[in-house]
Amino acid sequence: MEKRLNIAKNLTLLENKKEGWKELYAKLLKSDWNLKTIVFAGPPGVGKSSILNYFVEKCNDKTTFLLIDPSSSISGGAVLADRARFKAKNNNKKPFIRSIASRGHHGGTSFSIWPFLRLFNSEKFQQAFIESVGVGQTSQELRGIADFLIVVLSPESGDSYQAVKAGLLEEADLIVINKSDREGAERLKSIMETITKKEVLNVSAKTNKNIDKLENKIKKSQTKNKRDKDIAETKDFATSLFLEKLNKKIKKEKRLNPLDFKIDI
Amino acid sequence: MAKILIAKIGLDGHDRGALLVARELKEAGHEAIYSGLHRTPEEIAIMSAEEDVDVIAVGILSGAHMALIPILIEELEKRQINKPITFGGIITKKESESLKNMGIKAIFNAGTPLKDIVKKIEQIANE
Ligand code: B12
Ligand SMILES: Nc1nc2c(ncn2[C@@H]2O[C@H](COP(=O)(O)OP(=O)(O)OP(=O)(O)O)[C@@H](O)[C@H]2O)c(=O)[nH]1
Ligand SMILES: [Mg+2]
Repeated sequence: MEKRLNIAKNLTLLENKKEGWKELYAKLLKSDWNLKTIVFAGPPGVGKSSILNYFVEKCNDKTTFLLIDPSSSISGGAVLADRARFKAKNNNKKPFIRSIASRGHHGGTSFSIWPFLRLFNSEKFQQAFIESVGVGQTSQELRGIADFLIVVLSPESGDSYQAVKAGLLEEADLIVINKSDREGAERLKSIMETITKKEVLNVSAKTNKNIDKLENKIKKSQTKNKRDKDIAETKDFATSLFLEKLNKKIKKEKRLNPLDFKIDI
Repeated sequence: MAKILIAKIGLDGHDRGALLVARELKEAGHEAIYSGLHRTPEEIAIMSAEEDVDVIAVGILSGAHMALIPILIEELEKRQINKPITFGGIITKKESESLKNMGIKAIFNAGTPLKDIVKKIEQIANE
Protein backbone atom coordinates (compact mmCIF):
# COMPACT_ATOMS: atom_id res chain seq x y z
CA MET A 1 0.00 0.00 0.00
CA GLU A 2 2.81 2.37 0.80
CA LYS A 3 4.00 2.09 -2.78
CA ARG A 4 0.54 2.88 -4.10
CA LEU A 5 0.26 5.92 -1.89
CA ASN A 6 3.59 7.04 -3.22
CA ILE A 7 2.53 6.60 -6.84
CA ALA A 8 -0.70 8.49 -6.13
CA LYS A 9 1.20 11.41 -4.59
CA ASN A 10 3.57 11.59 -7.53
CA LEU A 11 0.64 11.61 -9.95
CA THR A 12 -0.75 14.62 -8.08
CA LEU A 13 2.63 16.32 -8.23
CA LEU A 14 2.75 15.86 -11.99
CA GLU A 15 -0.90 16.74 -12.53
CA ASN A 16 -0.78 19.97 -10.55
CA LYS A 17 2.69 20.84 -11.83
CA LYS A 18 3.84 21.31 -8.28
CA GLU A 19 7.42 22.19 -7.56
CA GLY A 20 9.72 19.40 -8.69
CA TRP A 21 7.47 17.99 -11.42
CA LYS A 22 9.91 18.73 -14.22
CA GLU A 23 12.75 16.99 -12.41
CA LEU A 24 10.53 13.99 -11.78
CA TYR A 25 9.37 13.87 -15.40
CA ALA A 26 12.96 14.10 -16.65
CA LYS A 27 13.85 11.17 -14.43
CA LEU A 28 10.91 9.12 -15.66
CA LEU A 29 12.00 9.62 -19.28
CA LYS A 30 15.12 7.58 -18.55
CA SER A 31 13.25 4.30 -18.06
CA ASP A 32 12.99 2.05 -21.10
CA TRP A 33 9.51 1.89 -22.55
CA ASN A 34 7.65 -1.35 -21.85
CA LEU A 35 4.12 -0.23 -21.13
CA LYS A 36 1.36 -1.38 -23.46
CA THR A 37 -1.33 1.26 -23.88
CA ILE A 38 -4.90 0.44 -24.84
CA VAL A 39 -7.19 3.39 -25.48
CA PHE A 40 -10.99 3.25 -25.42
CA ALA A 41 -12.48 6.24 -27.21
CA GLY A 42 -15.90 7.09 -28.58
CA PRO A 43 -18.99 9.22 -27.97
CA PRO A 44 -20.43 9.79 -24.47
CA GLY A 45 -22.46 6.98 -23.00
CA VAL A 46 -21.68 4.20 -25.50
CA GLY A 47 -20.43 1.98 -22.69
CA LYS A 48 -16.66 2.45 -22.53
CA SER A 49 -16.54 2.18 -18.73
CA SER A 50 -18.97 -0.73 -18.73
CA ILE A 51 -16.68 -2.67 -21.08
CA LEU A 52 -13.61 -1.79 -19.04
CA ASN A 53 -15.33 -3.19 -15.95
CA TYR A 54 -14.70 -6.64 -17.38
CA PHE A 55 -10.96 -6.02 -17.63
CA VAL A 56 -10.67 -4.62 -14.10
CA GLU A 57 -11.62 -8.01 -12.79
CA LYS A 58 -9.12 -9.80 -15.02
CA CYS A 59 -6.06 -7.61 -14.58
CA ASN A 60 -3.32 -7.77 -12.00
CA ASP A 61 -1.54 -5.06 -10.05
CA LYS A 62 0.77 -4.32 -13.00
CA THR A 63 -2.16 -2.76 -14.83
CA THR A 64 -3.46 0.77 -14.53
CA PHE A 65 -6.79 2.24 -15.57
CA LEU A 66 -6.71 5.95 -16.38
CA LEU A 67 -10.21 7.32 -16.69
CA ILE A 68 -10.61 10.76 -18.19
CA ASP A 69 -13.83 12.75 -17.79
CA PRO A 70 -14.51 16.34 -18.86
CA SER A 71 -13.97 19.46 -16.75
CA SER A 72 -16.64 22.13 -16.82
CA SER A 73 -15.68 25.01 -19.07
CA ILE A 74 -17.78 27.26 -16.82
CA SER A 75 -16.47 26.44 -13.34
CA GLY A 76 -13.37 24.36 -14.08
CA GLY A 77 -14.76 21.68 -11.77
CA ALA A 78 -15.64 18.11 -12.70
CA VAL A 79 -17.58 15.06 -11.65
CA LEU A 80 -15.48 11.99 -12.37
CA ALA A 81 -17.75 8.98 -12.47
CA ASP A 82 -16.22 6.39 -14.78
CA ARG A 83 -15.03 4.21 -11.94
CA ALA A 84 -18.54 4.20 -10.48
CA ARG A 85 -19.31 1.63 -13.23
CA PHE A 86 -16.65 -0.75 -11.97
CA LYS A 87 -18.43 -3.40 -10.00
CA ALA A 88 -15.66 -5.98 -10.06
CA LYS A 89 -15.15 -7.84 -6.83
CA ASN A 90 -12.22 -7.27 -4.57
CA ASN A 91 -9.15 -9.35 -5.15
CA ASN A 92 -5.62 -9.11 -3.88
CA LYS A 93 -4.09 -8.11 -7.17
CA LYS A 94 -6.03 -4.98 -7.80
CA PRO A 95 -5.07 -2.78 -10.70
CA PHE A 96 -4.31 0.88 -9.97
CA ILE A 97 -7.27 3.05 -10.97
CA ARG A 98 -7.08 6.82 -11.29
CA SER A 99 -9.67 9.34 -12.50
CA ILE A 100 -8.46 12.36 -14.43
CA ALA A 101 -10.27 15.62 -15.21
CA SER A 102 -9.54 16.97 -18.69
CA ARG A 103 -8.90 20.45 -17.24
CA GLY A 104 -9.39 22.38 -20.44
CA HIS A 105 -7.52 20.00 -22.69
CA HIS A 106 -9.41 19.31 -25.90
CA GLY A 107 -7.80 16.25 -27.46
CA GLY A 108 -9.83 13.65 -25.60
CA THR A 109 -7.13 13.38 -22.97
CA SER A 110 -5.57 15.71 -20.38
CA PHE A 111 -2.32 17.64 -20.04
CA SER A 112 -1.15 15.07 -17.54
CA ILE A 113 -1.58 11.92 -19.60
CA TRP A 114 2.00 11.84 -20.94
CA PRO A 115 3.74 12.20 -17.56
CA PHE A 116 1.25 9.76 -16.01
CA LEU A 117 2.08 7.06 -18.56
CA ARG A 118 5.78 7.69 -17.96
CA LEU A 119 5.31 7.24 -14.24
CA PHE A 120 3.51 3.92 -14.58
CA ASN A 121 6.10 2.76 -17.09
CA SER A 122 8.93 3.52 -14.73
CA GLU A 123 7.05 1.74 -11.91
CA LYS A 124 7.22 -1.35 -14.17
CA PHE A 125 3.54 -1.52 -14.98
CA GLN A 126 2.85 -3.62 -18.06
CA GLN A 127 -0.48 -2.35 -19.31
CA ALA A 128 -2.44 0.89 -19.24
CA PHE A 129 -6.11 1.06 -20.17
CA ILE A 130 -7.12 4.62 -20.95
CA GLU A 131 -10.72 5.78 -21.21
CA SER A 132 -10.80 9.02 -23.13
CA VAL A 133 -13.36 11.79 -22.70
CA GLY A 134 -16.45 10.98 -24.74
CA VAL A 135 -15.34 12.35 -28.11
CA GLY A 136 -15.16 11.05 -31.61
CA GLN A 137 -14.28 13.49 -34.32
CA THR A 138 -11.38 15.59 -33.12
CA SER A 139 -9.03 13.53 -31.04
CA GLN A 140 -6.31 12.22 -33.31
CA GLU A 141 -3.78 12.86 -30.54
CA LEU A 142 -5.10 9.68 -28.94
CA ARG A 143 -3.35 7.87 -31.78
CA GLY A 144 -0.03 9.05 -30.43
CA ILE A 145 -0.73 7.59 -27.01
CA ALA A 146 -2.30 4.31 -28.06
CA ASP A 147 -0.61 1.06 -28.97
CA PHE A 148 -4.09 -0.25 -29.57
CA LEU A 149 -6.84 2.25 -30.27
CA ILE A 150 -10.39 1.04 -29.87
CA VAL A 151 -13.25 3.26 -30.96
CA VAL A 152 -16.48 2.27 -29.25
CA LEU A 153 -19.85 3.01 -30.83
CA SER A 154 -23.39 1.96 -30.05
CA PRO A 155 -26.20 1.02 -32.46
CA GLU A 156 -27.42 4.64 -32.33
CA SER A 157 -24.05 6.10 -33.35
CA GLY A 158 -25.01 7.45 -36.74
CA ASP A 159 -24.88 5.93 -40.20
CA SER A 160 -22.79 5.98 -43.36
CA TYR A 161 -22.26 9.76 -43.17
CA GLN A 162 -20.49 9.41 -39.82
CA ALA A 163 -18.52 6.45 -41.12
CA VAL A 164 -17.11 8.39 -44.05
CA LYS A 165 -16.10 11.61 -42.25
CA ALA A 166 -12.57 12.39 -41.13
CA GLY A 167 -11.71 11.77 -37.50
CA LEU A 168 -11.04 9.15 -34.95
CA LEU A 169 -12.53 6.29 -36.97
CA GLU A 170 -9.71 6.75 -39.48
CA GLU A 171 -7.19 6.16 -36.69
CA ALA A 172 -8.87 3.18 -35.04
CA ASP A 173 -7.20 -0.22 -34.80
CA LEU A 174 -10.55 -1.76 -34.00
CA ILE A 175 -14.12 -0.51 -34.09
CA VAL A 176 -16.34 -1.96 -31.38
CA ILE A 177 -20.11 -1.65 -31.49
CA ASN A 178 -21.33 -2.05 -27.93
CA LYS A 179 -24.94 -2.59 -26.77
CA SER A 180 -25.38 -5.12 -29.55
CA ASP A 181 -28.07 -6.64 -27.34
CA ARG A 182 -30.13 -3.86 -28.93
CA GLU A 183 -31.47 -3.51 -32.42
CA GLY A 184 -29.40 -1.95 -35.17
CA ALA A 185 -25.94 -3.27 -34.27
CA GLU A 186 -25.66 -5.61 -37.27
CA ARG A 187 -26.77 -2.85 -39.63
CA LEU A 188 -24.17 -0.41 -38.27
CA LYS A 189 -21.50 -3.12 -38.35
CA SER A 190 -21.98 -3.75 -42.04
CA ILE A 191 -21.97 -0.01 -42.83
CA MET A 192 -18.79 0.51 -40.83
CA GLU A 193 -17.05 -2.46 -42.41
CA THR A 194 -17.95 -1.39 -45.93
CA ILE A 195 -16.95 2.22 -45.58
CA THR A 196 -14.00 2.19 -43.17
CA LYS A 197 -12.56 -1.16 -44.38
CA LYS A 198 -11.68 -1.82 -40.77
CA GLU A 199 -12.35 -4.68 -38.43
CA VAL A 200 -15.63 -4.24 -36.57
CA LEU A 201 -16.64 -6.28 -33.53
CA ASN A 202 -20.13 -6.33 -32.04
CA VAL A 203 -20.10 -6.72 -28.27
CA SER A 204 -22.37 -6.22 -25.29
CA ALA A 205 -21.12 -5.22 -21.88
CA LYS A 206 -24.52 -6.14 -20.56
CA THR A 207 -24.57 -9.77 -21.71
CA ASN A 208 -20.76 -10.14 -22.09
CA LYS A 209 -21.28 -11.14 -25.72
CA ASN A 210 -17.94 -11.22 -27.60
CA ILE A 211 -16.07 -9.56 -24.76
CA ASP A 212 -13.73 -12.57 -24.78
CA LYS A 213 -13.00 -11.87 -28.46
CA LEU A 214 -12.19 -8.28 -27.59
CA GLU A 215 -9.91 -9.52 -24.85
CA ASN A 216 -8.05 -11.72 -27.33
CA LYS A 217 -7.53 -8.85 -29.75
CA ILE A 218 -6.09 -6.74 -26.95
CA LYS A 219 -3.80 -9.58 -25.88
CA LYS A 220 -2.48 -9.97 -29.40
CA SER A 221 -1.77 -6.28 -29.91
CA GLN A 222 1.85 -5.21 -29.61
CA THR A 223 3.66 -2.43 -27.81
CA LYS A 224 5.00 -0.13 -30.51
CA ASN A 225 8.68 0.45 -30.73
CA LYS A 226 10.10 3.06 -28.45
CA ARG A 227 11.17 5.57 -31.07
CA ASP A 228 7.70 5.98 -32.50
CA LYS A 229 6.41 6.63 -29.05
CA ASP A 230 9.03 9.24 -28.25
CA ILE A 231 8.31 11.26 -31.33
CA ALA A 232 4.57 11.34 -30.81
CA GLU A 233 5.05 12.06 -27.13
CA THR A 234 7.45 14.97 -27.44
CA LYS A 235 5.36 16.68 -30.09
CA ASP A 236 2.01 16.14 -28.46
CA PHE A 237 3.11 16.90 -24.91
CA ALA A 238 4.96 20.03 -26.03
CA THR A 239 1.90 21.20 -27.96
CA SER A 240 -0.33 20.58 -25.01
CA LEU A 241 1.96 22.45 -22.59
CA PHE A 242 2.00 25.37 -24.98
CA LEU A 243 -1.78 25.38 -25.38
CA GLU A 244 -2.20 25.33 -21.62
CA LYS A 245 -0.05 28.47 -21.33
CA LEU A 246 -1.87 30.10 -24.20
CA ASN A 247 -5.28 29.42 -22.67
CA LYS A 248 -4.19 30.83 -19.33
CA LYS A 249 -2.85 33.96 -20.96
CA ILE A 250 -5.94 34.52 -23.12
CA LYS A 251 -8.21 34.09 -20.11
CA LYS A 252 -6.35 36.88 -18.31
CA GLU A 253 -6.68 39.39 -21.15
CA LYS A 254 -9.59 41.78 -20.63
CA ARG A 255 -9.94 42.80 -24.25
CA LEU A 256 -8.15 41.13 -27.05
CA ASN A 257 -7.40 42.04 -30.62
CA PRO A 258 -6.70 38.70 -32.29
CA LEU A 259 -4.56 40.32 -34.97
CA ASP A 260 -2.26 41.95 -32.39
CA PHE A 261 -2.04 39.10 -29.94
CA LYS A 262 1.46 37.84 -29.24
CA ILE A 263 2.81 35.13 -26.96
CA ASP A 264 6.43 34.27 -26.30
CA ILE A 265 7.25 30.62 -26.62
CA MET B 1 -9.61 23.54 -6.22
CA ALA B 2 -10.05 20.49 -4.04
CA LYS B 3 -10.46 16.80 -4.84
CA ILE B 4 -13.26 15.04 -3.01
CA LEU B 5 -14.28 11.39 -2.97
CA ILE B 6 -18.08 11.04 -2.84
CA ALA B 7 -18.37 7.65 -1.19
CA LYS B 8 -21.44 5.42 -0.96
CA ILE B 9 -20.91 2.49 1.38
CA GLY B 10 -22.98 -0.60 2.04
CA LEU B 11 -26.34 -1.73 0.68
CA ASP B 12 -27.77 1.80 0.58
CA GLY B 13 -29.23 2.62 -2.84
CA HIS B 14 -30.15 6.29 -2.26
CA ASP B 15 -27.92 8.31 -4.57
CA ARG B 16 -29.73 11.63 -5.11
CA GLY B 17 -28.10 13.46 -2.21
CA ALA B 18 -24.64 12.20 -3.18
CA LEU B 19 -25.08 13.20 -6.84
CA LEU B 20 -26.43 16.64 -5.91
CA VAL B 21 -23.46 17.26 -3.66
CA ALA B 22 -21.14 16.10 -6.49
CA ARG B 23 -22.79 18.48 -8.92
CA GLU B 24 -22.58 21.36 -6.45
CA LEU B 25 -18.87 20.71 -5.88
CA LYS B 26 -18.32 20.66 -9.64
CA GLU B 27 -20.10 23.99 -9.99
CA ALA B 28 -17.90 25.46 -7.28
CA GLY B 29 -14.83 24.47 -9.32
CA HIS B 30 -13.84 21.29 -7.48
CA GLU B 31 -13.21 17.77 -8.71
CA ALA B 32 -15.64 15.24 -7.26
CA ILE B 33 -14.96 11.57 -7.80
CA TYR B 34 -18.06 9.44 -7.45
CA SER B 35 -17.44 5.97 -6.05
CA GLY B 36 -20.68 4.45 -7.30
CA LEU B 37 -23.10 2.53 -5.09
CA HIS B 38 -22.51 -0.46 -2.81
CA ARG B 39 -18.83 -0.05 -1.98
CA THR B 40 -17.12 -1.75 0.92
CA PRO B 41 -15.14 0.38 3.41
CA GLU B 42 -11.99 -1.31 2.10
CA GLU B 43 -12.76 -0.28 -1.48
CA ILE B 44 -13.33 3.30 -0.36
CA ALA B 45 -10.01 3.31 1.51
CA ILE B 46 -8.14 2.10 -1.59
CA MET B 47 -9.96 4.56 -3.86
CA SER B 48 -9.15 7.49 -1.60
CA ALA B 49 -5.48 6.55 -1.74
CA GLU B 50 -5.29 6.00 -5.51
CA GLU B 51 -7.16 9.20 -6.26
CA ASP B 52 -5.17 11.12 -3.63
CA VAL B 53 -8.25 13.07 -2.58
CA ASP B 54 -8.27 15.87 -0.02
CA VAL B 55 -11.53 14.81 1.64
CA ILE B 56 -13.57 11.59 1.89
CA ALA B 57 -17.26 12.58 1.92
CA VAL B 58 -19.36 9.58 2.91
CA GLY B 59 -23.12 9.38 2.33
CA ILE B 60 -25.28 6.79 4.10
CA LEU B 61 -29.10 6.85 4.31
CA SER B 62 -29.64 3.21 5.15
CA GLY B 63 -29.15 3.56 8.88
CA ALA B 64 -25.99 1.42 8.88
CA HIS B 65 -23.61 4.31 9.55
CA MET B 66 -22.73 3.39 13.13
CA ALA B 67 -21.54 -0.01 11.89
CA LEU B 68 -19.83 1.12 8.68
CA ILE B 69 -18.00 4.31 9.67
CA PRO B 70 -15.80 2.64 12.32
CA ILE B 71 -14.81 -0.02 9.76
CA LEU B 72 -13.89 2.69 7.25
CA ILE B 73 -11.75 4.42 9.87
CA GLU B 74 -10.04 1.11 10.62
CA GLU B 75 -9.39 0.33 6.92
CA LEU B 76 -7.82 3.75 6.47
CA GLU B 77 -5.66 3.48 9.58
CA LYS B 78 -4.50 0.00 8.60
CA ARG B 79 -3.07 1.50 5.42
CA GLN B 80 -1.75 4.66 7.03
CA ILE B 81 -4.06 6.79 4.94
CA ASN B 82 -4.61 10.02 6.76
CA LYS B 83 -7.54 11.92 5.26
CA PRO B 84 -10.44 13.87 6.76
CA ILE B 85 -13.88 12.21 6.62
CA THR B 86 -17.29 13.90 6.53
CA PHE B 87 -20.69 12.27 6.87
CA GLY B 88 -23.98 13.04 5.11
CA GLY B 89 -27.35 11.34 5.53
CA ILE B 90 -30.04 10.39 8.03
CA ILE B 91 -28.63 10.43 11.55
CA THR B 92 -29.70 11.22 15.12
CA LYS B 93 -28.12 13.91 17.31
CA LYS B 94 -26.68 11.32 19.66
CA GLU B 95 -25.07 9.40 16.82
CA SER B 96 -23.67 12.63 15.38
CA GLU B 97 -21.90 13.28 18.66
CA SER B 98 -20.35 9.85 18.75
CA LEU B 99 -19.20 10.10 15.10
CA LYS B 100 -17.56 13.40 15.92
CA ASN B 101 -15.79 11.73 18.82
CA MET B 102 -14.44 9.17 16.37
CA GLY B 103 -12.88 12.02 14.40
CA ILE B 104 -15.48 12.67 11.68
CA LYS B 105 -14.94 16.30 10.71
CA ALA B 106 -18.48 17.33 9.78
CA ILE B 107 -22.02 15.91 9.74
CA PHE B 108 -24.55 16.96 7.08
CA ASN B 109 -28.07 16.03 8.06
CA ALA B 110 -30.89 15.69 5.56
CA GLY B 111 -31.91 19.23 4.67
CA THR B 112 -28.50 20.88 4.99
CA PRO B 113 -28.25 23.46 2.17
CA LEU B 114 -25.86 22.32 -0.57
CA LYS B 115 -23.97 25.63 -0.44
CA ASP B 116 -23.21 25.08 3.26
CA ILE B 117 -21.93 21.58 2.54
CA VAL B 118 -19.56 22.87 -0.16
CA LYS B 119 -18.31 25.67 2.09
CA LYS B 120 -17.57 23.28 4.94
CA ILE B 121 -15.84 20.76 2.67
CA GLU B 122 -13.70 23.54 1.18
CA GLN B 123 -12.71 24.61 4.65
CA ILE B 124 -11.78 21.07 5.66
CA ALA B 125 -9.81 20.55 2.43
CA ASN B 126 -7.77 23.69 3.14
CA GLU B 127 -6.89 22.72 6.70
C1 B12 C 1 -36.26 9.28 -2.47
C2 B12 C 1 -36.19 8.18 -1.43
C3 B12 C 1 -36.02 6.89 -1.90
C4 B12 C 1 -35.82 6.55 -3.37
C5 B12 C 1 -34.33 6.71 -3.71
C6 B12 C 1 -34.04 7.18 -5.11
C7 B12 C 1 -32.59 7.47 -5.31
N1 B12 C 1 -32.07 7.06 -6.46
O1 B12 C 1 -31.90 8.03 -4.48
C8 B12 C 1 -36.30 5.06 -3.37
C9 B12 C 1 -37.79 5.01 -3.65
C10 B12 C 1 -35.58 4.14 -4.37
C11 B12 C 1 -36.07 4.67 -1.93
C12 B12 C 1 -35.95 3.37 -1.51
C13 B12 C 1 -35.82 2.98 -0.18
N2 B12 C 1 -35.87 3.75 0.90
CO1 B12 C 1 -35.89 5.63 0.77
N3 B12 C 1 -36.19 7.54 0.88
C14 B12 C 1 -36.28 8.47 -0.04
C15 B12 C 1 -36.60 9.82 0.65
C16 B12 C 1 -38.11 10.04 0.52
C17 B12 C 1 -35.89 11.03 0.13
C18 B12 C 1 -34.36 10.86 -0.03
C19 B12 C 1 -33.82 11.92 -0.96
O2 B12 C 1 -33.48 11.66 -2.12
N4 B12 C 1 -33.77 13.16 -0.48
C20 B12 C 1 -33.29 14.29 -1.22
C21 B12 C 1 -31.77 14.42 -1.00
C22 B12 C 1 -31.23 15.66 -1.67
O3 B12 C 1 -31.57 14.53 0.38
P1 B12 C 1 -30.60 13.54 1.19
O4 B12 C 1 -30.39 12.31 0.44
O5 B12 C 1 -31.03 13.47 2.58
O6 B12 C 1 -29.23 14.35 1.12
C23 B12 C 1 -28.94 15.48 1.90
C24 B12 C 1 -28.17 15.14 3.17
O7 B12 C 1 -28.58 13.96 3.76
C25 B12 C 1 -26.74 15.13 2.74
N5 B12 C 1 -26.18 13.95 2.05
C26 B12 C 1 -26.77 12.82 1.62
N6 B12 C 1 -25.90 12.04 1.00
C27 B12 C 1 -24.71 12.66 0.99
C28 B12 C 1 -23.48 12.30 0.51
C29 B12 C 1 -22.39 13.16 0.67
C30 B12 C 1 -21.09 12.77 0.11
C31 B12 C 1 -22.56 14.38 1.38
C32 B12 C 1 -21.41 15.29 1.58
C33 B12 C 1 -23.81 14.74 1.88
C34 B12 C 1 -24.87 13.88 1.68
O8 B12 C 1 -26.72 16.19 1.82
C35 B12 C 1 -27.96 16.29 1.10
C36 B12 C 1 -28.33 17.73 1.00
O9 B12 C 1 -28.71 18.25 2.23
C37 B12 C 1 -36.18 9.53 2.12
C38 B12 C 1 -36.95 10.28 3.20
C39 B12 C 1 -36.37 11.64 3.45
N7 B12 C 1 -37.22 12.61 3.49
O10 B12 C 1 -35.14 11.79 3.59
C40 B12 C 1 -36.40 8.02 2.23
C41 B12 C 1 -35.55 7.21 3.20
C42 B12 C 1 -34.11 7.64 3.13
N8 B12 C 1 -35.71 5.79 2.67
C43 B12 C 1 -35.80 4.96 3.60
C44 B12 C 1 -36.00 3.57 3.35
C45 B12 C 1 -36.25 2.71 4.57
C46 B12 C 1 -35.98 3.05 2.04
C47 B12 C 1 -36.18 1.58 1.65
C48 B12 C 1 -35.46 0.56 2.53
C49 B12 C 1 -37.68 1.34 1.60
C50 B12 C 1 -38.10 -0.09 1.43
N9 B12 C 1 -38.58 -0.64 2.52
O11 B12 C 1 -38.02 -0.62 0.34
C51 B12 C 1 -35.65 1.55 0.20
C52 B12 C 1 -34.15 1.15 0.17
C53 B12 C 1 -33.51 1.30 -1.16
C54 B12 C 1 -32.02 0.96 -1.13
N10 B12 C 1 -31.59 0.01 -1.93
O12 B12 C 1 -31.28 1.53 -0.39
C55 B12 C 1 -35.72 5.56 5.00
C56 B12 C 1 -34.38 5.29 5.68
C57 B12 C 1 -34.59 4.99 7.16
C58 B12 C 1 -33.34 5.00 7.99
N11 B12 C 1 -32.17 5.43 7.54
O13 B12 C 1 -33.44 4.66 9.13
C59 B12 C 1 -36.07 7.05 4.70
C60 B12 C 1 -35.40 8.03 5.67
C61 B12 C 1 -37.60 7.17 4.79
C62 B12 C 1 -38.13 6.95 6.19
N12 B12 C 1 -38.43 8.03 6.90
O14 B12 C 1 -38.28 5.87 6.62
N13 B12 C 1 -36.04 5.75 -1.11
N1 LIG D 1 -28.22 -2.26 -23.24
C1 LIG D 1 -26.96 -2.03 -22.93
N2 LIG D 1 -26.62 -0.97 -22.16
C2 LIG D 1 -25.33 -0.76 -21.88
C3 LIG D 1 -24.30 -1.62 -22.36
N3 LIG D 1 -23.11 -1.15 -21.95
C4 LIG D 1 -23.37 -0.04 -21.22
N4 LIG D 1 -24.70 0.20 -21.16
C5 LIG D 1 -25.37 1.32 -20.46
O1 LIG D 1 -25.01 2.54 -21.10
C6 LIG D 1 -24.92 3.60 -20.15
C7 LIG D 1 -23.58 4.31 -20.26
O2 LIG D 1 -22.55 3.41 -19.93
P1 LIG D 1 -21.06 3.87 -19.58
O3 LIG D 1 -20.23 2.66 -19.42
O4 LIG D 1 -21.07 4.84 -18.46
O5 LIG D 1 -20.66 4.65 -20.91
P2 LIG D 1 -19.33 5.49 -21.23
O6 LIG D 1 -19.05 5.36 -22.67
O7 LIG D 1 -18.25 5.08 -20.30
O8 LIG D 1 -19.82 6.97 -20.89
P3 LIG D 1 -18.90 8.30 -20.71
O9 LIG D 1 -17.73 7.94 -19.90
O10 LIG D 1 -19.82 9.25 -19.99
O11 LIG D 1 -18.58 8.77 -22.09
C8 LIG D 1 -25.18 2.96 -18.79
O12 LIG D 1 -26.53 3.16 -18.46
C9 LIG D 1 -24.89 1.49 -19.04
O13 LIG D 1 -25.60 0.65 -18.16
C10 LIG D 1 -24.69 -2.75 -23.17
O14 LIG D 1 -23.89 -3.55 -23.65
N5 LIG D 1 -26.03 -2.90 -23.43
MG1 LIG E 1 -17.21 6.28 -18.93
